[in-house]
Amino acid sequence: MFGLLLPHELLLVVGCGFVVGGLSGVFGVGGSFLLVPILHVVLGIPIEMAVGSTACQVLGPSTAALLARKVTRLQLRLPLIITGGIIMGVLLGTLILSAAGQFGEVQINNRSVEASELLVLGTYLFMLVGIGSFSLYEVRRQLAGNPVSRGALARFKIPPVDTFSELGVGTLSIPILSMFGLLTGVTAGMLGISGALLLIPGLVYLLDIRSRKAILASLIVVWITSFLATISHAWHEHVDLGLTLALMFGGTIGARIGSELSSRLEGQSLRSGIGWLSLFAASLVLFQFYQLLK
Amino acid sequence: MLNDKFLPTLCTKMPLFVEKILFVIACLTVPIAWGIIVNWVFHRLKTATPNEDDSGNESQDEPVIEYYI
Repeated sequence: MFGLLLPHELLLVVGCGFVVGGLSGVFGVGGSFLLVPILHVVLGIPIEMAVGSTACQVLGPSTAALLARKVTRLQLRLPLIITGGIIMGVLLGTLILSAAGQFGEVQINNRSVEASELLVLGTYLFMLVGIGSFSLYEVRRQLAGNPVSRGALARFKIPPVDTFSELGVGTLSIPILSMFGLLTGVTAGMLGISGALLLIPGLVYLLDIRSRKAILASLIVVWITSFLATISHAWHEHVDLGLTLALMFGGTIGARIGSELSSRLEGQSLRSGIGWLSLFAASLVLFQFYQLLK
Repeated sequence: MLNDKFLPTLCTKMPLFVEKILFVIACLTVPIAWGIIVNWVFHRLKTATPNEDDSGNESQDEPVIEYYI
């Protein structure tokens, strides 16, 4: 599809892409988790279209970021294992979204609400509040000199296991990695997010992988996820290329400026910024819930 | 008998199928091409300007900024 938006609306989308890209550049996380609520709540774009177009536009910046790095064959090992679960997860996520779309409307509080909208907004709210609260809690614990313990999932050694010395960790269970990928894929497919927002904290805190390695692994996974999600969403005609281009254009410029600004901030400020940003996005979703049900 | 029903059905359904495939390819090509162009432009800009930031002022392990993933 092409031409969902009028020219002046496209300019607004470029502006949104710029602002979100700027924030993403500053805080170093994906912008999809902000873009979908903004496109849907602020610009009134149908939720399936907002999800699909956002998933498609993620391919642009992630391609650029991946090309800017030299990825070795060994570094591909963990992302490819996680991708096994992600492939199934993304397909499952988009299927769930399509099924919810076909389900039609549900009655809540004497109001008719689209089931797909309810599902996406509900999952968003849960995820954003969880990530926002955890980020702020983690920073608080760090400041108090009592950092959050890492590697909860790394302790489970369900066979087969393998050693990932290139990541600075010992043995990790392959089924656990696949399940982690499956859950990330379902969320990414359903919400149109790149998955980095879940992957990076997951790899760092649950699997005890160092931040730099986690970010590179996440980048590879994000590229594969968004590639698959784009195929699936485009097949269901949930992508508007005009919207995608407008988001990429504004986002690239904003992200560049944002990443320049980020070098002036400290790690803890960045992480608490991510927390507050997540809670801000959650408040947008909550507002949309209120609008739906009032 | 089979051709009477099958071929017209195939002819009317094929364009929609092909259209969908082409749309999927376009949705993949546009952002990837964008990423390649952006990377090329920034690479050119980086090589064109003298690098003044190589003063060893590296950040610690924690916040690595990956732009807009």
